[in-house]
Amino acid sequence: MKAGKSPKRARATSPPEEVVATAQESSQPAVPVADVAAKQEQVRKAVVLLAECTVRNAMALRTSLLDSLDAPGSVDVEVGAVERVDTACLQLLLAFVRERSQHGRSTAWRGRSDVLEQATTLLGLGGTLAISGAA
Amino acid sequence: MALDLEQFHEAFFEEAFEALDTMESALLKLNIGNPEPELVNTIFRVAHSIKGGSATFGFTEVASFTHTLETLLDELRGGRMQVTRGLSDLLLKSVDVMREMLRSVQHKTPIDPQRVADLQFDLELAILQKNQAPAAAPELPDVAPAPTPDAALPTMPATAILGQRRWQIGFRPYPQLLLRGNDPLRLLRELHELGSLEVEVDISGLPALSEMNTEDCYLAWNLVLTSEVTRDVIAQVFDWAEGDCKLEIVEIKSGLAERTAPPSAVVVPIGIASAHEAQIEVATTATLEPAAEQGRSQGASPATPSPAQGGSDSGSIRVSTEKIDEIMNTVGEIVITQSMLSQLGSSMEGPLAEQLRSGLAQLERNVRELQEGVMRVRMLPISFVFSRFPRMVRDLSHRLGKEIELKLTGDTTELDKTVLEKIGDPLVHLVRNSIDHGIEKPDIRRAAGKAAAGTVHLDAYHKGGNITVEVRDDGAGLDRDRILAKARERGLVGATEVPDDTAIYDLIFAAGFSTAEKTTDVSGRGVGLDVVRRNVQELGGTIEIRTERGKGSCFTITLPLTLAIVDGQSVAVGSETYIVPLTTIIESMQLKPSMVNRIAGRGEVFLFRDGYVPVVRLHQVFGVKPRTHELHEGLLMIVEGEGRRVGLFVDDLLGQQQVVIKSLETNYRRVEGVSGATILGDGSVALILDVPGLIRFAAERLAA
Repeated sequence: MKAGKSPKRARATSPPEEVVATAQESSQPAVPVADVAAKQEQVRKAVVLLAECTVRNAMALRTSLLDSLDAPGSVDVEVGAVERVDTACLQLLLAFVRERSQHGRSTAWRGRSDVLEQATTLLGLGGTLAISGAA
Repeated sequence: MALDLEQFHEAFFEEAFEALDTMESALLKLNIGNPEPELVNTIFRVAHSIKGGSATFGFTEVASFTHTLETLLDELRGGRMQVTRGLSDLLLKSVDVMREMLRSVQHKTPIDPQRVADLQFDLELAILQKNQAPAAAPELPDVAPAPTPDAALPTMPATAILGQRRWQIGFRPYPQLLLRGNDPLRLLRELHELGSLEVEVDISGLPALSEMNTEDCYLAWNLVLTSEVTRDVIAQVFDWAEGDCKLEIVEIKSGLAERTAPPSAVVVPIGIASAHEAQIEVATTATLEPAAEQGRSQGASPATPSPAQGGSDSGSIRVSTEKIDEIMNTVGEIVITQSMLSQLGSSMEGPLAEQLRSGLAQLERNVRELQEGVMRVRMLPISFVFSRFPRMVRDLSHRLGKEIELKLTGDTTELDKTVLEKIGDPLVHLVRNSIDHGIEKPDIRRAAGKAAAGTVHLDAYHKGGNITVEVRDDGAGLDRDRILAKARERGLVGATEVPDDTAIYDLIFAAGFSTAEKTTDVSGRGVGLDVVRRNVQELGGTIEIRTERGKGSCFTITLPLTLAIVDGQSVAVGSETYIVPLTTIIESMQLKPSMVNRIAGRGEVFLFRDGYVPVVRLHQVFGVKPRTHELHEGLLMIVEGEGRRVGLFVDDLLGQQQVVIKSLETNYRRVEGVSGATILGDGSVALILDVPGLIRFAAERLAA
């Protein structure tokens, strides 16, 4: 019976401060030339979405998105962990993607989350966010 | 600032419990076999609202259970299932379980999963059995918990099927929608469950990321729903978002999808004509809760303007009782100050004194109005208590194999919330008592020449400054001889003593007294009536019983309307001032020495109207030095309590005034014969007499 489900099932598994997994090495000088290509791959800005991607954690998400907003090149958004999502967070992602694309910068989705895909489709954001194409 | 949904929990629970009460009373009114559609709708709406709310707050067990219930109710509503006695019982049980679940969630105690699961299974079974149409193979009902985010999204054909309607839904949330715990995602998911949903999002309101407030909603949606549902069903999805969004639901009449077409005539009573756009309300006139009768209108009618922010309760607001109590307290202080000023003013002399006094009189009127106004805020109709009885009587009569008709009258009679809360249990006891001991089984009743169905009648009315609640039954009445025999057996009454009827009937209020031959789980353990009397007395009320063998009994509870203020007569005894509640006073008189008789061992009595009334010398009771010991030099105030009268001997009457009751128990300790204290205009403390207590106390003293 469904009644046995724990209500805490979808609670966040990590505290908000872990939201941002931004690589800080980009400002470090003296990288050996031979490693440049590999390092460039490593220092791409990334934003990791929490399991609980809801209004509770929206402030932290906004901070991390703002942090990556002006990052050159492509920014990765890691969505694999998302178990719960709401409109508050989706509209933040939407603003982020829109603003980056307005400045000719791209955003890439990493990982897959059915929950997130269903939510974007339901809200009519499938086209704009195009999360379902995530790698 | 992260949004903390917990701040809305209490409001949700309160509304949910009220909604369950509504659901229960609607279920009880439901005609077996031929249910009124409006009642079924009401029941459905309650289930739907609770489902939505619990899903929002993450109470998944409640949401899941309610979803199943809602599925069943939808079958009822669609006329695909019949209301049978069994089904009605099942639904009532569901109400109980939902109430328990909500209570568990509220108090963070574990839910009994087995009980919930069993009932949910029964509900599913009921849906399944009724769905077995002869021509179609039985299909499993959709019992998936709708609100869980990972629920599979069923896809429906987008083309219009015969009987399906196309609804254009304009859904423009106001910024605060998210803050109120409403997630458009959930709303759209619910719509998606109703049929095929085409979604077009409007992101034009979305600001730059740096300007976004994470708790504001910036998106809006134009939706087209293809489904067989009615506009009401769609509006119900938005029940909880009422006041937090602009909603337009328009049926697209032609088969062509024309989102830009002008609204057809079906629609949409929107908010107030003069309102600017932000004030337009959710158009859900059809979802008005029946609770509106109790002044808690949930909907926005065109005639009632409501503020832009959360104007869902157009006619009322929810205020915590603490806040009202604070106001009450302050008003009490004003009353004291005002009486102090009046006292001061009365002793003033000079040209301005008259002006001062007229000003003070004005102040007194205003303060009284203010006080009455605040008291009215605390008043609730007794229907809040009465409403639990139909269910109780139904269950009990079923269990005891008796036929009982419950009559409720005067249920709009209002009384103070505190009194109301405390009177519920005593009334439950009395009604149980009537059903178990009073009303006879149908065959016995028929043999006695009575109708097979007994009647229990609850009546409430105002009388003087009191509220009277009667519990009457037309059952067997009290058996005087049996009570007396039992009392003798227990040594409560001497073997040769023959008390009068009132005293005998009074025995049933003695602790542990029961004449029941066998103890049932309903009553008969002898706990009950003594507790009833104690509770009533704690409220400053009295309980009386009238009974006639074979005809029935009537318990009459008399309670003060409020526990905060009393209209009193101040009297002087020596240097002390006492307050006698006005409602207890019959008359004040001066005695002639010839009117007083002295009875050996029983003190003094005097002839009053048609009987002798004992004299209680207040100075003796309270041990103060009186101005005079001669009865004819002072005054006698005849007071009544619990049907007994005494004459209180006092030095003088001082004046009538409204006094604010300060609890003696809280500030000092309980004192026999005193119900509280108050502060007088001159700052001194006066005791408020507890007349019934005083009569008992005096009787004991005199007997001793």
